[in-house]
Amino acid sequence: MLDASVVDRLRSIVGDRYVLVRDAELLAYQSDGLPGYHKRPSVAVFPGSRDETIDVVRALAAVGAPFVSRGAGTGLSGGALADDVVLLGLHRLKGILDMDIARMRATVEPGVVNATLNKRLGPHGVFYAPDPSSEAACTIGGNVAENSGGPHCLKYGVTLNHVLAATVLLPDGEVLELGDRDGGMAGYDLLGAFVGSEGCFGVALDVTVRLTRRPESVRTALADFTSVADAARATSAIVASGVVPAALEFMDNGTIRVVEESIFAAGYPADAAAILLIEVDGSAEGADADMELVRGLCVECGARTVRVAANEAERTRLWQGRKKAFGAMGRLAPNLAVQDAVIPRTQLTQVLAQLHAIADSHGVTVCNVFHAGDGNLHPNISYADGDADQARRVHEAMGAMMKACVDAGGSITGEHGVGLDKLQYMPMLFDEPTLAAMCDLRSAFDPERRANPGKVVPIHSCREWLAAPSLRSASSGDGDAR
Amino acid sequence: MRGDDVIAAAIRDAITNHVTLRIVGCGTWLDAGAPVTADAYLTLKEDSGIIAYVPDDLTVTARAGTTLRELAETLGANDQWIALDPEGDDDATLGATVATCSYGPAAALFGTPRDQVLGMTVVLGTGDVIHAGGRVVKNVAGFDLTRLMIGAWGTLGVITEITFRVRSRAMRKDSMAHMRRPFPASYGFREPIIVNPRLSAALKQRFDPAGILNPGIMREPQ
Repeated sequence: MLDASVVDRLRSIVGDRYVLVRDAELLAYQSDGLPGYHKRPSVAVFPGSRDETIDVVRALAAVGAPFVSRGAGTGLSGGALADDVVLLGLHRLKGILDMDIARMRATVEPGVVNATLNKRLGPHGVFYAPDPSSEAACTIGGNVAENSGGPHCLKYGVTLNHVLAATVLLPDGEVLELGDRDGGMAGYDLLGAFVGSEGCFGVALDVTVRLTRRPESVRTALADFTSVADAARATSAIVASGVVPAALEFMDNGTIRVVEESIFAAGYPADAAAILLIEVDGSAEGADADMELVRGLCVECGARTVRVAANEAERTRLWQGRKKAFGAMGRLAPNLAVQDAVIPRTQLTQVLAQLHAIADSHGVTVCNVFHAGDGNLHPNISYADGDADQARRVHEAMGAMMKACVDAGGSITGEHGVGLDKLQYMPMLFDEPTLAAMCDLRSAFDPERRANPGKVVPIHSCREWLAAPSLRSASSGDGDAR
Repeated sequence: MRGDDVIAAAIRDAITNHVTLRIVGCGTWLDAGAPVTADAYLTLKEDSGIIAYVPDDLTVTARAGTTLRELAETLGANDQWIALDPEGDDDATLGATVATCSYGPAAALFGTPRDQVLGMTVVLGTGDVIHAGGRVVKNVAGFDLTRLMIGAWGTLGVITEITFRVRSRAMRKDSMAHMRRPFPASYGFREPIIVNPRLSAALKQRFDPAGILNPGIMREPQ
């Protein structure tokens, strides 16, 4: 628990209203987008400006208090959970500081919502490309922390590829400029290291992002297949063809049926083993030519039908089913474990079969809806948190699925981050010297490891921890599941 | 000199004997940056070859001493390429291209090595061998040691193996046009200048505590 005098200091910085200490008030902040994990912060503090944020972090630094930064709390790996430490909510910092359309860049505060930025950019014919499915709620600060992806990252790249510069507040209170708004590169790529550091390296006070011109035209098609293997083959064929689709999304039968039974029904054929949602963009002629090629490849690989959306309304409807698929899964059970892993694209058929076998052997149901174009899987398991036995089986199935993806040459996360949820799988993917080097990188930014403690890298990998037995008893850092 | 173990042994020897090392691919960059006065050369050029290439995965893994030409020939057989065209001839090594983050006109469409490299093996200045990133095109597991090493000019570790994103050459001209970004020059590299002195020193202290790797190559700002 934080000393009362520190709480008073926080109140004097941000105002009484923006410091929460009572259990009932903190309840809303003990969860994020990851089901099954709940951690109660000791205090939640919500600065309203850049200067207040700096003062808060300096006040915490003065007493050596750890803290966890949080944007909208939509993260899916538990990265925004604060276990009896200070929660630093940044959602009030929502200023769009600059939109320089001529130079194709915008500077925003961390609490700006992804979709809000794009709404403001829309009239200028440009957009900020990374589009996580939570875009309507998630913040740019959170996107930077997690190096978020989204369906359209296949063509446009992930957050890392769209951040030019950031003003960063280190956990000790120092303010640094990382990167170069003009696109220049000098010195160690500290910005590259900062993007995706999951709140462990400091707080972004502002972020300058690259803007992208809206494509002249967009074509979206639905291809349906009677076998998963055919859909996987079509995916490989499209990617290998040289067409870079704006998006190439895969949904299996379980997902199709739950979407079609919901209010988000998109007209997907309920008897299909799998569908691909394929989008191409560019000039009108280019997009048409690309779509013809894609259609041909799908048919060659055994597609039953390939339907191209005739107008914007049809296109929106096709996408709605995909974007709301996670929500539709709420029909199956109260909780949904949205998983995230990556595999080499040629392993798609084999790994999907493995995932189903794992689900069967653990007595759970898996629905797959994912970014097929870059091999970024999202096996989702619906379950009821209240059923301890079922929750245990889900947890074990997830572990087995992660192992299957790693064994196939993949990764344990493509866009959701490690947070608390994936901490246990890190040694599956990285050897001890590599984990130790990650600790060293973190220590350069935050030698006391006060920012988002206990996340991302298991603490027993750190040299300091191994060297100092006293730290071991004091640490809470291994991210115990629930 | 071939293999991570051999390079790690060379670095450990250098630490023990207080020998500073100039890390060299084929020597194209010897004049760049500040003058380096090192006791010995550690040459990666002989450590070459493609380690893994599955064309349909659109990724390739090669040893750092592999030349751009060798890689281009292998990928070209499948009408594929890594979207990098740095200045200089194609005898430059992959290791040097990535260590300097060198880019050419294609960067306006596809970005620099920062956007093309998926993972790497690095022998740190401590002698530890690390495996950063991975071999898949999307990966956010752990802290990004890969980005840290790209453009670090071999001052934190010696890159021995690199995995790149591969692109199809067919139809490339318009497919990626929306990635277009303003670049100050058509050719360039990451400037070896110390920008954030305190953080840079902290990194150097942790990754090359004996100060044996490319001493002096990172210039103080003017």
